[in-house]
Amino acid sequence: MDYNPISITTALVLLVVFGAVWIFFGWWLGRKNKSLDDFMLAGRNVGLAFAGATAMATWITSNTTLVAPQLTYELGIWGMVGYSLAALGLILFAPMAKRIKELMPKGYTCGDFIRVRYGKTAWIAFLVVSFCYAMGWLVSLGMAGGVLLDTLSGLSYNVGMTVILVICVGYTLLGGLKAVIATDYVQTIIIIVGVLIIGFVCYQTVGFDRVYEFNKEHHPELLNLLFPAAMMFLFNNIFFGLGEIFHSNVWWSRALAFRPGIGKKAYLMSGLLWLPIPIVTGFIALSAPVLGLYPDSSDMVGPMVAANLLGDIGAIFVFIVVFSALASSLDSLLAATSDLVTRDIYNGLIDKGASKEKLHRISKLVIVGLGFVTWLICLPKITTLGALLNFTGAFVASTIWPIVLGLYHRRMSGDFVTAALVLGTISGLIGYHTIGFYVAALFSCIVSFLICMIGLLVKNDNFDWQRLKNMEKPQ
Amino acid sequence: MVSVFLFLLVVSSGAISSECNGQKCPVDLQLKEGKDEVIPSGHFNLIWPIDEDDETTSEQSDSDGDREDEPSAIKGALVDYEKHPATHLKISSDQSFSQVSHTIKIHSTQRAVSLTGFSDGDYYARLLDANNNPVSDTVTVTVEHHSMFKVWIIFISGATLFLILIGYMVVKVFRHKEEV
Repeated sequence: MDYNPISITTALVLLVVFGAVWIFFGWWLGRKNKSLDDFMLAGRNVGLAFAGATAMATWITSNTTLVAPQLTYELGIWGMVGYSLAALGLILFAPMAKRIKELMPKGYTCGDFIRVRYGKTAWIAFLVVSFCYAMGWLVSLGMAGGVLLDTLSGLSYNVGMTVILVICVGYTLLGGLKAVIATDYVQTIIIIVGVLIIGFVCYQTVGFDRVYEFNKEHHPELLNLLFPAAMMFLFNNIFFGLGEIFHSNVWWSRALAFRPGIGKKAYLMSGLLWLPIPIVTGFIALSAPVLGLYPDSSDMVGPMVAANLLGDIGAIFVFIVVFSALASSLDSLLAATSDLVTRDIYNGLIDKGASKEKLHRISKLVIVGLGFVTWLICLPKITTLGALLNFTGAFVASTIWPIVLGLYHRRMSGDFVTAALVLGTISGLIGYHTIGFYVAALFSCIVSFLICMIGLLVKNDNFDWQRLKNMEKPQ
Repeated sequence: MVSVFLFLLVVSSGAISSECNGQKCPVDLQLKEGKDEVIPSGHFNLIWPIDEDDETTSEQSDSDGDREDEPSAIKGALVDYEKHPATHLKISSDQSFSQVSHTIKIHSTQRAVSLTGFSDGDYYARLLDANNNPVSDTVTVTVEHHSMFKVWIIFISGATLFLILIGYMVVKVFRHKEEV
C-alpha cells in the first residue's frame, strides 16, 4: 500500500460527488420548510426510525471513527472500554428526553430551559460553557476532515478541511434539521455497515492472538489493566460523554423535535446500538502495531489501518465511511449551535421582539457565520483531535448535575448552579493542564457535584414547573 | 468568546529545536511534547519538520515518481509534502542502540510518528536511511507514569461519583412519574 492510498484526483472526484449529493438532498428536503419550527425542529414530528438513526449517527462522529481508535492506541484496553461506556450518555439521557418534551413542549433549546429554570446569570454561564464546547467540537470535526483527506490522499489539510465545511454548511443551510436528520439516516447505515466490514476483515487478517502477543512484547502498557493514565481516563470519559449529551443543544433539539413518546425509545435504542462500535474501532487501533503501522498522528490510526487492510478500493470505502461520520455530526452541530445562538443570544439578548420569519433568516446567517469562524480556527491546526475534544470535557462535565437536578428537583437554585458551572470548569481546566486531558471532565464534575449538593442543602428555590410550560421570555 | 477559547487552548502548546553534535543533521528529529518533557502516559510523538532552507529535498520529491499519475498542476496546488532520506526509525533502551526494541518503517514523505504503550524508562530514538546510516540526531524520551497513589485516589473518586449518579438516575429519573 502506498503511504496515501487514494490518488488526489480520486479524492477530489469523491468530494465533488459527495458534496453534490448531500447538498441536493438538503435542498430537496428543505424545499417544503415553511416555518421556524420546520427549519429548527423538523416540524416537531420525527418518528422512531429517523429519531434513532439521527441520535446514533450524530454520536458516531470523529469521536467514534477517529478519536475512539486514537484513545485505544494511546491508552489501550481501558481507552477502548472507557470510550464504549460513553454510550451511557445516550442511555441515561433517554428518560430525560421524555421529561424535556413534557416539561417544555414549546421550547427550542437547552438554553431556554436554563434561562427559565435557573435565571439569567446561570443562563449566561451556561451559554459560555455550551458555546466553548460547540466551537471545540465544530473545530475538531473540520480538522478531522482535513486530516482524513491528508492521510488518505495527500490532499492539503486546508483544502480538505475547507471542502467538508462548505458541503455541510451548504446542506444544513438549505434543509435545516429535516435535512440533517434525513442525511443522518443514510449516513448511519453507511457507517454501521462500514465499521462492521472493517472490523471483520481486521479480525480475519490479524486475529486476537497476534494482537495480544505483539502488543504484550512491544507496547505492554496497552494491555495493562493498571495502566495509570488509562485508569484515570475511564471515569473521566464517562463523565465527558454524559456532559456532552446532557447539556448540548444537539440532543435537546432532537428531544424536542421527536414525536411525543419517541425520544426515550430512540435514545435507548441508539445508545445500546452504539455501545459495541468503539470496541470494534478500538480493536482496529490495537492491530496497528502488529501491521507495522505507526501513524503520523494518533487520531488517524483507525482510517490508516482500515485502508491498509482493505487495499486501494477499500481506502475509498474508508473515506466514504469516515466522511459520512464527520458530516453527520458536523451538520447536526451546525444546526443545533445555530439554534442556540439565534434563540438564546439574538432573540434572548439582542432583539427580543424578533418575528419567527426574522429568526428563520437570522438562523441561516448564523449557520454561515459559524461555518466561517470554524474555518478560521481550523486553519492553524492548533492541536490534535483527542486533545481538543478532551479540553472541552472540562466545560461540559460541569453541566451534568445542574441539568439532572434542574429537571427533577424543585429545590435546586440558580446561584449555586452558576457557581457549579464556573468553578467546575475552572477545576477541569486546572486538571487538564496539571495532570493531563484524562482528568479534565472528572475534576469538573466532582467540583460541580459538591457545589450542587451544598446548594440543595442550604437553599430551596421551590421552582414552579408550569413556568417551563409557558416558556417565559427573558426580562 | 472565540479569542478566550483559543487562548485557553494555546496555553499547553510548545516546540523545541534540535542540533546533531554541533552540526546540522539532514533530518531534525524532535520530541513533539518538548525536549525535556517527561512522558506520563507512555504515549509520545516524534516529529521531523520540513526544513524551509533545504532545497534538495523538494527537488528530490519531484523526480521520485511516487505520484506519477497525478497531474502536476493539481499536485502543486493541493499537496503539501517534501521528501527526506530517512527510511526507518529505531528505538532502543540503551544509548548505543545495541538492543533495538522497535524498528519502524518511515515513508519518504512522513513527517511525524505517534508511539504508544511504553513502560517506565529512558528510550533513545533516531532516524536512519536505507543503508542504516543515522540521518538524525538521537532523541531521548523519558517515560515515567503517574504514581499509583494518585491514580487510585482519582479512580476511586470517579467510581464513587459514577455510582452516586447511577443510583440517582435509577431512583429518581427512570422511575419518575410526570407531575406537571
